[in-house]
Amino acid sequence: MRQPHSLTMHTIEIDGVVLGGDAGVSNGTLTVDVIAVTALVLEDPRIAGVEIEIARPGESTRIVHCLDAVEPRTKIGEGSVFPGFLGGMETVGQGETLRLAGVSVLVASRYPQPFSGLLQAREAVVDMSGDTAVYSPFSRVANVVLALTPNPDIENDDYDDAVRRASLRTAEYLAGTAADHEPDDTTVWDFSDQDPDLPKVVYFYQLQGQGRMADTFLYGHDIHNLVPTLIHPNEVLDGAIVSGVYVYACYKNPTYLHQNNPIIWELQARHGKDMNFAGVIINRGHNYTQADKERSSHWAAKLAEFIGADGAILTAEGGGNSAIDMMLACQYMEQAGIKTTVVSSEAAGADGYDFPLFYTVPEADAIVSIGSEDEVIAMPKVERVIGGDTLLDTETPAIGPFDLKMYFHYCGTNQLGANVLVGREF
Amino acid sequence: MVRIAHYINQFFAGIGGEEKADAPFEVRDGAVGPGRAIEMALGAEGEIIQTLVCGDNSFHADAEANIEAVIASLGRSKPDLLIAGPAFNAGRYGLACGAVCAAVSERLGIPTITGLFPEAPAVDVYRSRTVMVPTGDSAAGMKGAVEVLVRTGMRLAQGEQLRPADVDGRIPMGFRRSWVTDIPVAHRATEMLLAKLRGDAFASEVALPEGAEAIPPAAAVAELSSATIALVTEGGLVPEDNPDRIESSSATKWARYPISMLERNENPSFKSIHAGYDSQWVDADPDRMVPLDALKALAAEGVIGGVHDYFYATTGTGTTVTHGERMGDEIAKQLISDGVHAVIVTST
Amino acid sequence: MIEKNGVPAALLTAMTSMAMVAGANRILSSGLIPHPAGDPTRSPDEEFVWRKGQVLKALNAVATPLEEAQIFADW
Repeated sequence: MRQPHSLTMHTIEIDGVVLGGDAGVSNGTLTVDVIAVTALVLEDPRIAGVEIEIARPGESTRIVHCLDAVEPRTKIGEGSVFPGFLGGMETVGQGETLRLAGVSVLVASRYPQPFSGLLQAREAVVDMSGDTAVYSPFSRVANVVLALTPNPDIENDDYDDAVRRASLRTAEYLAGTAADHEPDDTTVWDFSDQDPDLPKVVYFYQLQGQGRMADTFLYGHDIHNLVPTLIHPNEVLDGAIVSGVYVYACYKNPTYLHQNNPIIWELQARHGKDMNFAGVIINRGHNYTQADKERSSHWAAKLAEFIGADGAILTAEGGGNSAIDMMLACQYMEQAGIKTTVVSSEAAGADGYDFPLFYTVPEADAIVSIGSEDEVIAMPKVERVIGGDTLLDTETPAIGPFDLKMYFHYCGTNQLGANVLVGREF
Repeated sequence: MVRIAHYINQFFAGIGGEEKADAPFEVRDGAVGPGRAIEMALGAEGEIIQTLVCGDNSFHADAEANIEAVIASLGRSKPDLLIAGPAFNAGRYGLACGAVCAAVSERLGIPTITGLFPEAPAVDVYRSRTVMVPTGDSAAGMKGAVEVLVRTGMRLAQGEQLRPADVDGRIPMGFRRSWVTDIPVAHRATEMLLAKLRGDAFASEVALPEGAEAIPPAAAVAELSSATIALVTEGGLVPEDNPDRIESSSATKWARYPISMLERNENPSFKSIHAGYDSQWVDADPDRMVPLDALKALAAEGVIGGVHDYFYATTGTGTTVTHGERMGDEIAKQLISDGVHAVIVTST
Repeated sequence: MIEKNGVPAALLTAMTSMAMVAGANRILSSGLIPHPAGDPTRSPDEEFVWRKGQVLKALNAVATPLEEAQIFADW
């Protein structure tokens, strides 16, 4: 399959972030204009207040109520990042984009109305230092935290949209303040050349589409009616996919990690060396019936055959329900002669003695582990908490100490491979 | 200086072979037999303060009393570590080492370690209750076995955390835990895939299950029209105040509630506390999870004999197999004692 | 475990493949994951009739002698 997209990505490496008045980048330090960002966020009447704080790696700082994280990006020239949310409707993945590396805009908030049932924004914690920093990849970047206060009179669904737009707009604004800065690196992402002597690898990229608070957006639209489809890796890297998944924290694939998907990053780096990056198939996870799961996974396997894939790497988002969709896709790809590797978290119980997988197929003989979601982590007392004073549900003082299940560690077992845990036999 | 107690059998104590297997439990000061090799390996780091000796037959003839004697002795001497064996592939000796180590770890909180051939009978029995290092199958491998025992034992004595079994050079204890790696997931996944494509060997990081135990189907109900039918759900449907405090995920509890209470569905009304699905439809109408209205109608029509007076509920999300099987077994036994003939289960 | 104890049990679920892996014997595909015995797209009366039909299928399943686990056809 021809892959005509070419994306030029300019990277400015940020090694320090400060709050101040003189917005922009100087000597690797990003200055965030608090007044300007506050005004930008509060343009939306659904948001009653915002506190902006920086959480840096190595600080005795804890962030709570994390909803989404976004890397600052802006298009150079025509177009906008995150079309469907910002700017006009178009596709991305071509032209030029500027990114600020090492920074995330991390939005943290409670919701205005109480939740009931499964689909609710759940606690999500990041520790920036100490032994517990390994439980979130966001301990390794500087986070510009937008701690929001909702307008109490609006409904949760409406506020949900406000949260998303606040983080996306801030991310685009911050990158824009550095638009005149010379990039540290410029890389052209282009997979048009395919070496016929190398195996073709496709990436099966399953997105969570379960309902409000557990939705992923493709060009501004939820994916409930999505059948598996092809998307260019550059589109993913350039903002086509935005997260609205605010349920269990350890499983979330935030927007930042769609923009920096480690699987796509790895495959693009190896393209033309020991494999061809043959494309990306996106798929809705959490299909509601067996028939829909079968339909979707057969369809994904069929697409992988259409593009002549020899091998596939599969990732998902969420727990047991989504594991079934992914494992079925693995099964049907293998049955079509496409070799697979599956990325999975483990659920062997708090003591680790149970069988670690929710659902397996006999064909899933190559599984990469991202660690246990069932462990309980002792969280120390910290000096500073951003985002809220107490944890959701339990209302435990967020300053610590307390015990916290892995479920509530932000991207602790990230299925795109952003974190550093692996399940091992002890 | 780490203070170590050492457990050995009559053979390694120099008392004698099989003909002396009834030698009684005794405690000697200092190192005996392989304990001297252990002390050599320890150098100035530690010493063996006492050696516990028991004949293989006499240990098992009254294991309980011998273990009590070990506990009493070590309770007084308070060593930093107990080393047992190594017992290699020995049956009775290995089991004694395992039993002694398990009891000392669990009752005195003293770290314990033994050395066994990986296929020795004691491995499966005691692997989760004491640290074990692999040895050869006979005493010919004593030197290497002592080195690895001492190296890992000293880490335990100094209070260091366990590392993955292969990193520590231990026999796996049967549980899994997260570990920090510096090799990214994407790199491991790609390497594994390319190895698979080349036809090279690769190692999955999680092994697939052995085939699940097939449960033979229960005999069918002979006469529906006289059968009592019960309703069971893992959908987390409970009175709204959740009086039995069933967990919303990783459940360890189940409860039963009168169907008359569910029919009334007010004060209290029923809600789902299950944290694994969107409960709005079930909260609006619990019959969508526990189809009581339909079953009652079929009873009234004479299709079945009757509806059992209670429905049974737990939460099936993140629930471990161990707890799931236990709860299922408990529910089944309750249903049988109540004279239920068949069950309809609903699952999300 | 209910079947293991000798009591026939029919399982209504949207996740039939999961039920098979988990070792259930009398499996019926029913409803959606969040409401295996419900169909909120129907009117209340129609939904009740539909549910009665699903329960009747489950009763037929517990009255059907089996050699091994089976997913009953969703007819």
